[in-house]
Amino acid sequence: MIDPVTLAVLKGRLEQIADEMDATLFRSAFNPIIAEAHDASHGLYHADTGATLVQGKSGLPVFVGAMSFAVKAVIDKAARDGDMADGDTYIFNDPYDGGTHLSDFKLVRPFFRDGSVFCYLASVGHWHDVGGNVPGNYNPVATECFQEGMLIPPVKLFVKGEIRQDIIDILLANSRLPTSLYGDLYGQINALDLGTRRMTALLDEYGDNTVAEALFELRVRAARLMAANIADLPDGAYSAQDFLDNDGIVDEPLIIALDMTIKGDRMTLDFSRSAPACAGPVNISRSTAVASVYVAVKHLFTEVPANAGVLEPIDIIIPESSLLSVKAPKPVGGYTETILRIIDVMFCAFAAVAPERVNGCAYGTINALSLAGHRRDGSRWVMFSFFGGGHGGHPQGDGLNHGNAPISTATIPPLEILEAAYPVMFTQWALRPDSGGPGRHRGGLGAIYEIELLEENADVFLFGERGKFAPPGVLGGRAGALNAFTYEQDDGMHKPPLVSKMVGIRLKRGQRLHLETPGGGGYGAPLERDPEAVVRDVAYGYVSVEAAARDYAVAIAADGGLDAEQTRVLKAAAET
Amino acid sequence: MSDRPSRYVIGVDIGGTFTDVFFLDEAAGRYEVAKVPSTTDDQSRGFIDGIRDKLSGFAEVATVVHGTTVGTNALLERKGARTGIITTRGFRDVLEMRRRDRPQTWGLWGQFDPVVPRDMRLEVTERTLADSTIHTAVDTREIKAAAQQLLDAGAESVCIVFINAYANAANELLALKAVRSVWPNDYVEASSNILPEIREFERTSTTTLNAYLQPLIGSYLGKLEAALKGDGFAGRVLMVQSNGGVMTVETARRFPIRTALSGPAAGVIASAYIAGEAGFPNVITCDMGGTSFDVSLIADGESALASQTNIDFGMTVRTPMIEMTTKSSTMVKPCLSFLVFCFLFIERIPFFFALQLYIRFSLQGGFLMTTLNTQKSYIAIVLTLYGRLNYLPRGADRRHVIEIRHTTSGCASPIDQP
Repeated sequence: MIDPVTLAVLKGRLEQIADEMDATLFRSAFNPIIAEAHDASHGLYHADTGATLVQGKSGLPVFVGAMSFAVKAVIDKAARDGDMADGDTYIFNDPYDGGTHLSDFKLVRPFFRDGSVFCYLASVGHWHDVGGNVPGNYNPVATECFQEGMLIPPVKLFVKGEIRQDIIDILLANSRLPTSLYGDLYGQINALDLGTRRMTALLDEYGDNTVAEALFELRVRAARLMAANIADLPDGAYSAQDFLDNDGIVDEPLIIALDMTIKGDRMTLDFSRSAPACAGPVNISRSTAVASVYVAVKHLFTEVPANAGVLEPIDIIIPESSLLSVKAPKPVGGYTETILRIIDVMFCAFAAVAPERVNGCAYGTINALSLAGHRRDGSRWVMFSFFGGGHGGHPQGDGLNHGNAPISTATIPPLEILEAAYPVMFTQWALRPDSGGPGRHRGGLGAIYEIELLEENADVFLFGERGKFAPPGVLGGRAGALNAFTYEQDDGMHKPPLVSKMVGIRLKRGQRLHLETPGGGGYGAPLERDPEAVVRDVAYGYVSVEAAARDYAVAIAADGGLDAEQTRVLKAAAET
Repeated sequence: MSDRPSRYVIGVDIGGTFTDVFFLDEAAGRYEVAKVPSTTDDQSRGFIDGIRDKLSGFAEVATVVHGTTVGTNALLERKGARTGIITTRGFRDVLEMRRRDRPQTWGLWGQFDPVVPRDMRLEVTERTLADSTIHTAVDTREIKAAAQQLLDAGAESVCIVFINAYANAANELLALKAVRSVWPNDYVEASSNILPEIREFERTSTTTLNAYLQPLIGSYLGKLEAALKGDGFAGRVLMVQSNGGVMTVETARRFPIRTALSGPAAGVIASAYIAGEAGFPNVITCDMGGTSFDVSLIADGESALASQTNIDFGMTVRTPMIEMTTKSSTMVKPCLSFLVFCFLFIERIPFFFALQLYIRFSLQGGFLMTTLNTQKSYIAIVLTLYGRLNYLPRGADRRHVIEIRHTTSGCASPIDQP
């Protein structure tokens, strides 16, 4: 057995390789979604199964699970074709095999030692534009993947070390922003090259067997630790459900339901009661669903190492007909919204089992906003960004204000970068008062973003959620505020008919978009909140005087302090 | 010691717990060291006491090189001044919203209390565009009213951060002038003077933390200078910067944020030098004080410079610093016990063997990863660095490196000292 010190050193060294690959791409990518927001990931994957061995710490969590499917897709392809060789690198964005959506391009490279594959190195990055009907590719009215962008199956980008320019030409011809694509692609290639060099050096130094043993051991430990954690939970059946606003086509809610069974050291997650496949792009492929379960489990059991071993003691049931298991050509562009809901129902179901592990639900929508138009000189511009919201209250305190989505560690681009790159001016970038779900530990605040157009005109696309179903609180905590989007036209401000999704609204110079994102759900009953904490919240403008009285039964005196007398009256009334 | 004039170069490192002084008699080629408890109520007292410990007067001191963790500790313990921010209308929450991040990838239990609370961040009407055009001019009466409001709320220092001031600082500089006209002290600065770079959060955070430290560092340096002069000191004082270089007291007073990792940086520079002399170009430095625990890496004799550093979650400082990981020592208990264990028995137990023992001990009945995660980064950092470096000296030369490892920044123990 490998000794623990060598194991720890190799773990650090392997993670360092993945982290360096992340850093290489972040520093060389042309598009701000990767360079500024870090919507990318790198890792090492198993030679036979594609299972995640090691993952960088700075990439997107949801890719951790999804990338193993991507690598498996390449393994299957190579087995069919029988022509994989040292120096090959595959490229594709097929979301049905590889998970997530068309914007995420995966590069997968077999890493050879002595004539056979030791492991795979892979890189995934969210490209700025990959064709389709909507610039930036979040098409809320897509009914087939063909309306979302180009779909590339696994093909060889490199053959025995030689790059295939014809593949690159095809890719460039299918994007509105070919220069951006070119920069991102070469950034990913460089990340893989660096990973190859680092792995070679590592294996030369420690020997292939030692490293292979370390990789095996890391996975075994993750599985064993996860099973031990499950065994500590009380056996039983637990359920939770939540809803998506609509699918972007038909304005009807879609249920995401979880029936969870814990028995001994195994756990079954049954999503059978969830809605069937829908017309619009909130479907996801099975690989994406599994990846999101992985993310939820890792948020709940943070001490378990990040590799495929985590999922070994977990059985996942998803019927073929489900919107959580669609195949081509069902649209999947808005996968982020659906997997955020999977994570929310996981937290809600776990609240009954392990209240000390959960938190109120986070804001639960990425609000993919795209503004696109042409500058005076005729050049095209596409501003595409995701926006933040509140995290849920948790056992240790209030939720984080303006955090990133649980599926992501992506940061938001600075507004100064966006203003420098695109003809827009932000008029507000602020915390949103009264958006945090009331609770003993309050949900974190969502945000308000307001953008004014500086160019002649632009088309606006929005892909959001939580416009009708707010992020739930747990253990008596209440929901955060709903997502609210409005846009300006000549006759004033408007709301999109489908609340959180909107396609192709034309904006004129000087007109504004106004986005108010949800806060997080609360943790514990709001009446149990320390009145002094409510007084502080009011002083900082996190909570209004009215909401303090309504939600917390706390009265604020004229000087901003606690009105103890009136608070007693309110508390007495609230408790009856 | 004799009293020939201007013969000493003195290094002083004030940590959260101890103050270390290193005396170098350049003429005689000799040195001495002293260690006294830090005086947290007035850091300059410990400084002076430490020097008086060995010297009768200050007239013979030519230069004092001073590393301090006054700034680091004030940030880690949130003990800076009550500070106000005046910013563009619509953007007072930039400091608190950060770059929409969270403390850890896994787990959603983050919290962040900005050093300037929301009611001390005021907005004024003004706007500069990204192309440097002034969209809305600044109204100095409104600025003065905002400054007054902050003074009434007890602000001791204030900073002005306007959107796109990196592209055109005109509005900010007008506002700066207006605030200075009503502000009772020197603790007023504009973001374009502190960090004239694009990215509003990084600029806001750096400028704000600078303002947050200014009164503290300013008063400390004032007292220090007065005390030194009172004792007949006529030489110069150089402050160690976070990037390992030095600056004058005047510069430090204006840019106290540059001292954010001053003490630890000096330790790293000294470690690099001593390790190099001892024939080890690659070392990991661990500097464990009573307040902070700092780990850095020296590869090929060079310490790495980071252009941006986070001090705890959300306190982003964008100024060149020696790359290191710094954590509050109070969170380092398991690691602390381990390091104390190593240091105490250093003569008997080789460091790396001790490390192995410790990990094996932690493994009993558990998992290595649990141990790593419970103790967060500390052991992991060392092992990761080790993984990067794959280097640790053994055998006869071990002692030298151990000494580097527990260098208490600023004045490293010389290798030939018994």
